[in-house]
Amino acid sequence: MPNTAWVDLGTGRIEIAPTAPQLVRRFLGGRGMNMFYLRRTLRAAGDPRSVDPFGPHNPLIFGAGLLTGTIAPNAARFNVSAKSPETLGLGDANCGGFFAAAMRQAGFDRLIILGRSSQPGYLVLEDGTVAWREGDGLWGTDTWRAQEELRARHGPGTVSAVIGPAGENRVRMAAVITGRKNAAARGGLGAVMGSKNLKAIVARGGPPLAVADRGRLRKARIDQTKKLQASRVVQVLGRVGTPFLYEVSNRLGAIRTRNSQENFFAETLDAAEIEKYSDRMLACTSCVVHCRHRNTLGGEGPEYSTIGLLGANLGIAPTEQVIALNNQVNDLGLDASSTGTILAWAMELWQRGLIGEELTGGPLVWGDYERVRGLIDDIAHRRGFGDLLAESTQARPMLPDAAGDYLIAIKDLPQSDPHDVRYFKSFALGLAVASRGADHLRNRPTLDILPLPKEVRRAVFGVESNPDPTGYEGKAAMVAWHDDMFAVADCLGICKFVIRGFNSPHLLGYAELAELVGAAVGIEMTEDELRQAGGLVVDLERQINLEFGRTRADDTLPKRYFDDPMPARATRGHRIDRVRFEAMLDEYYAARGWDAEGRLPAARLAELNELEMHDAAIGAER
Amino acid sequence: MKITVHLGEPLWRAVQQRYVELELPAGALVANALEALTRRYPTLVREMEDQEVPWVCFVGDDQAERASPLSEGATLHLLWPLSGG
Repeated sequence: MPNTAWVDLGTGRIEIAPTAPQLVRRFLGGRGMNMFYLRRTLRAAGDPRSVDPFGPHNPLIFGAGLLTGTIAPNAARFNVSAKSPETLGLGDANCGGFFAAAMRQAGFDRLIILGRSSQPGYLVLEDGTVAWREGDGLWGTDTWRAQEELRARHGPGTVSAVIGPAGENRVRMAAVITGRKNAAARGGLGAVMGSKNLKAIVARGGPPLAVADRGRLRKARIDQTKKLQASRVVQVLGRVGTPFLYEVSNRLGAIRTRNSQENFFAETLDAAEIEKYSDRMLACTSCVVHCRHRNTLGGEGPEYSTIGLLGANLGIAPTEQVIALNNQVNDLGLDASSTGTILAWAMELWQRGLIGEELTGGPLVWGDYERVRGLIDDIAHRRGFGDLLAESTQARPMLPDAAGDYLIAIKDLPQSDPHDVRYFKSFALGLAVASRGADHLRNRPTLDILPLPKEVRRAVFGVESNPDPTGYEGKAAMVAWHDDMFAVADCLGICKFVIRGFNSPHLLGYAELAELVGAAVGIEMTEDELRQAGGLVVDLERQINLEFGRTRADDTLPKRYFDDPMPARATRGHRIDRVRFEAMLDEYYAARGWDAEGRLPAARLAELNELEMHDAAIGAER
Repeated sequence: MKITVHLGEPLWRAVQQRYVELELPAGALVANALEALTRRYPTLVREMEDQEVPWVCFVGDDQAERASPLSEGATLHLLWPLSGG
């Protein structure tokens, strides 16, 4: 069974215990189990609202997916969770690469880190043990240099998850990085790691993971790989990666440009241009897609989100400059989405005269690459105006009152992706209700963009849905379907690029995932039981948000999305109607079984509370 | 009349160029342009018929259908409508 390690960096106390099987069946692993422990630990510390995100009582949780490290297709992923310093609410970020498989092979599927070390250092996981090491010479290094140094110290086969200068300096949009660019980026969890004086977690691998039925798992892997490799979407992702998504959003007029004042940008950021700087494609553990570029400027990427947010959103068109900024944020350990959104916010405030040179230390002009490059470095090191921007959305009280009107964020999380959601109303609803804030990877119904027949939509989603992309009614159950499916993927540690509903109706659904769980773990689940596990995680996250004081009023959108029509191209004139949006929210709450204020039924809350009784590992003292 | 066809990812790879010029009779529709395109580049047929992701087209800045009219100098964009990444 999976092992969880509790590590108190203040006292040096380490406890290792198997995870209760009842919890595994209900929450699976990865994101779901992280959320279980996040709620439990925050509540044990008192009122979650009063827990200092940089204090010793904020748990920093690294959790591998239930299938991560097995040969299941694309089973590479892990989640990092904590109270977010960026949103002061639920913090959770999902990441690929090789770290999580090595963590499991070293004997751990989950680390729950509390306290704060008096000196910088790092944790080493090896042969079922956890050890603390002094961080001499590591503090201050960038994310890649730190990983190279740790490989030199601990030998080949060492895989690390690290923070860069941004995490060390508690920048509220700091990421945890593994490899050149794999990032648990959202919510500033790298800053939580920095606040604990924890530079890195090193995993020393080990023998292959034991699985319940090796032959059955191998057959599932072969069958599913064939199916996935026949997908044109998988083939294209393997050839050019996510940059191909830019072109169509741009043509449609749905690329966030200059802080969403505009909605299309330059063709210099099309995939065909990005590809000129790609020297090969790379994969994560057990991946059959290999969507990651190694770029010729010395890094990996950029992904579609980074192209949009460090390119179009800042008015920067030259391909090489955008790739260079991508590499810079990865080396410094910053979330590219938050960084691009916050910089664009500042640029619009400058454009409107709401802030001036006395605050910014110089002009903030759209497209000024050198200025952006300098500011990114200043953010990571908290210098000058960068120190204020390092506060991310929490900088709002330090700015003029009107500044909030131009901030593209929900629940204080800057929007993750470059897609302007004023046209596709289901995308807008998804962002508004996503548990961690404005993020498309919780529930984006990407297939709503396709002209699919109604019967195909019904077969994929299992619910009726309105095929009009700009419609408000008949979208909520489809978004709820994606909530559950994506939660299951995150709990299993499977990349969404092989999950049905994320860009293609032909990928892995509940039946295939249930087969993988049975073969790998020996837990036989029906398709419905698997979906229910996803639904339980979504409900748990809702409850965590309620305990942070979130309400229906927080399930909303940036002011601009309601008030300003999209200015050009096929989306011209579209915005979100407030009254129809509220009706869509009603429909969504009903689809989820929540009340009109977005609260769980009493029986569901009791069920969540009872599940805490199964966790023997925590003990009375916690 | 002369029009330009912009082939998006991954369609352009079947013809190894992103922009193609077509000569069409006056009054031609998008459907006529597609016929002319696949006649000139038979390698595009498989790509165009793939139903996993049905492509969409734009004439200039506006979303279009097979029955949409074309005009002299128009640009017809053929793209995969995906947004998850």
